[in-house]
Amino acid sequence: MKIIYHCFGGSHSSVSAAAIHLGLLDHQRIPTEEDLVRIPYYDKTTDADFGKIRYMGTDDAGNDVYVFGKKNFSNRYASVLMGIAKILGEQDQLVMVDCMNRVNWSMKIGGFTSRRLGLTMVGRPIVTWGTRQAFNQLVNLVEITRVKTLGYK
Amino acid sequence: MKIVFLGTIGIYHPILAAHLYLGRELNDDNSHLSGWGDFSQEDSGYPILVGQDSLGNQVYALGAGIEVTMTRETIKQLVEILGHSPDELLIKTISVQTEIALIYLYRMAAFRILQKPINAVVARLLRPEYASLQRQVDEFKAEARFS
Repeated sequence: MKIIYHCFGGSHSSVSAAAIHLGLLDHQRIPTEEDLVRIPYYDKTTDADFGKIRYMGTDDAGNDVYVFGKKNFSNRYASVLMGIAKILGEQDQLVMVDCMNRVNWSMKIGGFTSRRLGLTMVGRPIVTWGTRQAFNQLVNLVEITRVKTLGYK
Repeated sequence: MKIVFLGTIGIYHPILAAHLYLGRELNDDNSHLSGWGDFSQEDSGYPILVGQDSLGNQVYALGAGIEVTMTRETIKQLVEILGHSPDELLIKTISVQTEIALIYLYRMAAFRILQKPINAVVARLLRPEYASLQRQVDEFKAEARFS
């Protein structure tokens, strides 16, 4: 099964959620800024990464986990990709997980400042602080996703 | 094989291209064409099945809003991620001069009462582009033959 965590830029919430899913972040404690920055892709993407589905790893159930930045697209983008999976006969093999409703204002402002304005020194502390605030919600999202994918082959 | 005609709003120029590909004729309002101006189908985000060609290939129309190029690349990636060959799903981007205007018209159709008049306006806007649509479809047929 392919699990795709997606958000605006594919740089913060989706990457964090995927990292939690894969055990790259310990779900039992709030990560430090260093823990977050160590995750692949976390606050490291560029405009060229929009729309690219990036592989993060394979979980212990053998599911491939990806991240994806969909810009301003609503959840309709997930439907577009699910629709493509459906016409290929693979709708049961794809799970799209929207991380946007777990994103707080600090993550939005920090992410924008770091990635869009290029002011990483200013934006990164703000986005990591925001991610730490949202961490338990992201853990919850991952737990829901893992339950959903139980039993699928 | 699946063929997807992709544009800003799937129920407009991509669906016209899909019908042209299937050998159907366009007219002034296109209401006889399945999927034309069907907002519920566009809202769903799912590719709209238009028909099957003489070789049994399924033909679809799909809207991607302003991010057509990005969507095209994402779809190609997804096909490979799902373990399918790129030849199993061919994507043809269909462009018209009014494609950005169509996005705004589509958004206005959030007010249901405007949907019918908006479809009429779009039909009018697209009429001068029929030759261009046919050209793009013919280009696609020629490319597909050699791939």
